[in-house]
Amino acid sequence: MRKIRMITVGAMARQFAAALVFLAAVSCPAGDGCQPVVISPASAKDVAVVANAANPLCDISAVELRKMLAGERRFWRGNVQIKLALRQAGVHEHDLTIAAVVKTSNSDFDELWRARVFRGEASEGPRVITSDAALLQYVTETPGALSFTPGRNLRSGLKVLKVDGKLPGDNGYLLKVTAK
Amino acid sequence: MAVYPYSSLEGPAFMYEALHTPTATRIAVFAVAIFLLLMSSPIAGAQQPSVTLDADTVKALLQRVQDLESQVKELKVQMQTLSAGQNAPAQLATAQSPAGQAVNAPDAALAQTSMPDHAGMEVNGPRLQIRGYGDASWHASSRSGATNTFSLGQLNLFMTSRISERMSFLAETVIEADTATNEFSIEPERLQVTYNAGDWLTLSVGRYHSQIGFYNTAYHHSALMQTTQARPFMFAFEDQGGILPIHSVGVSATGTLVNSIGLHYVAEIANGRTARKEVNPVQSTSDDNNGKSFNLGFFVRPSQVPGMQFGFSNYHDHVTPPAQSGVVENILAGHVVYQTPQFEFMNEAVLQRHTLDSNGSTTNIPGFYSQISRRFGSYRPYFRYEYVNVPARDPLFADIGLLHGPKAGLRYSLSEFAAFKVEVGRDMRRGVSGANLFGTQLSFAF
Repeated sequence: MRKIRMITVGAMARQFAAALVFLAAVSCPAGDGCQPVVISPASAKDVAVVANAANPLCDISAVELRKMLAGERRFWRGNVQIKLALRQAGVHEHDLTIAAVVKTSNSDFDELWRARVFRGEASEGPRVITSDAALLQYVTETPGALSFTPGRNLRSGLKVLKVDGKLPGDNGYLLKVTAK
Repeated sequence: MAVYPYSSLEGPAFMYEALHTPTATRIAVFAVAIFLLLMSSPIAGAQQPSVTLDADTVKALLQRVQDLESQVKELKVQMQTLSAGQNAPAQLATAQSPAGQAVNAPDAALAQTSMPDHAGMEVNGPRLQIRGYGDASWHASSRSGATNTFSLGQLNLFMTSRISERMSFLAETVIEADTATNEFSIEPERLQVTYNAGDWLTLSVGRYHSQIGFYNTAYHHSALMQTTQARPFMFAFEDQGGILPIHSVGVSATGTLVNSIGLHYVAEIANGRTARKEVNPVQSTSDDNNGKSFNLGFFVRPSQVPGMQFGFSNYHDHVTPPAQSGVVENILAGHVVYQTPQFEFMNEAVLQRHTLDSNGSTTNIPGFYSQISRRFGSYRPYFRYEYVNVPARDPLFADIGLLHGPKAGLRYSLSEFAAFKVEVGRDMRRGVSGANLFGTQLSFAF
């Protein structure tokens, strides 16, 4: 009779976990390094910072984000132009982004860009797109695009950037929607 | 010792034998792990969010359906409008916001391809945008001989156009009346093509505002865009008696040197200005001499204090007045400015030095202004004190003399594009008694 080796459940579990870790390491997106985003009901309402999928950035500081929104910085690293696209004023994600990042009102934000164009520091203001679908299509198709959209709108083809190391849903996330 | 779940008495014999071979065990474990990973995580490419289907998610999906339906409706309306042959440029104008372009992605494509007034024009060509600025005022002075006057200010047609992804055009064409003759003239006060190589270099060629100090590049030919009725005297336009080379024709470069500390540079080379009184002081088509003016400066916008800027610049030129000794001109300018939508505190100082070629003697022209204002809703009270002192022996601007005094006023924003200002001031000059000033101004954009 063949001698039966008794293998404990624990030993099988250890081998299974090792296999999972190994395979997770080799199946991360090549050359990206950004962790996948999991959108839960808690983070679906938060405003995500989205960029074109070819953008190599994973994380952006609030200071740099403000500079980009205010037009003080106009290029990503690698000299790709920042193509800023926003929903129109009055839409929740637009208003929250301007208030939280630039720390101004919508009218002051418009005035800031009018002044920038008047000084010759920019040829035009941010592109304003009046529907979520068109906005996400623009970001998906445009290298250098940067925009802001609720977490529930996220889909493949977009890159979600962390802000100061935090993602939508995290405690302390800059563009968090707090329940009233 | 734990008992394996399948014993020879309970489990299928083939599975039992397979699982109890060490190599086979490992293979089975890895196979299951591979299967689970393939089903649940992305191997490459973009991130995939996972959504749990609850009431909120269903609601969000319904909202997306509604957005898509409204987009389809808009497309149908636009198709109907196109087929009815309405004027596409009028649609484009009403769709634009003051700061940018309010378009749906499909709208942009439609607007660019349907412009009956520009039949045959390249559909992907430059898109010219024009905005107008103007002002009208009433002012009075207690100075002997002065009259109270209604005045038209500068009518500024401000034009911009994107030539390509990184190249743009800007022009300020100003129509204004001469204060002495009331005759109108038209002049391109700014006319420049700008190339954005990156944050490190923005290159402009043409006629531009010299980057001397802060005010001259922050404010241009629009009373609406500045707090006060008029510019500080030190930064007055050449044709309004100003002593600085406000406009230059040449090449201007600026960019970010160190992003982390907000350090920027300025480097300019231009024709410089003419000292001949009978012609336009801005040399737009020919230079009096072979020498060029140079301007080099640095300024810092610290990231930790949004709205703060301080900097320094040095402008150098050689001016050759007719039948006089040439003059080497150096203009040293420094500024410390804190400016937010709610509050501004601007301080600039300039030292203009004129050195005669003939004997090397130098005259110094100091000047400064300090301006503070704060916004309270639609109201913005302000105060400014300014000072310029031109020595009597200065070879270029001796007629200016000493000019200084305070101005205080109130700006009321009628809307985003119109403002009404009331201002009082005291004008003090060397050799004449001071005069009280009073003025009102309506400034607007259109």
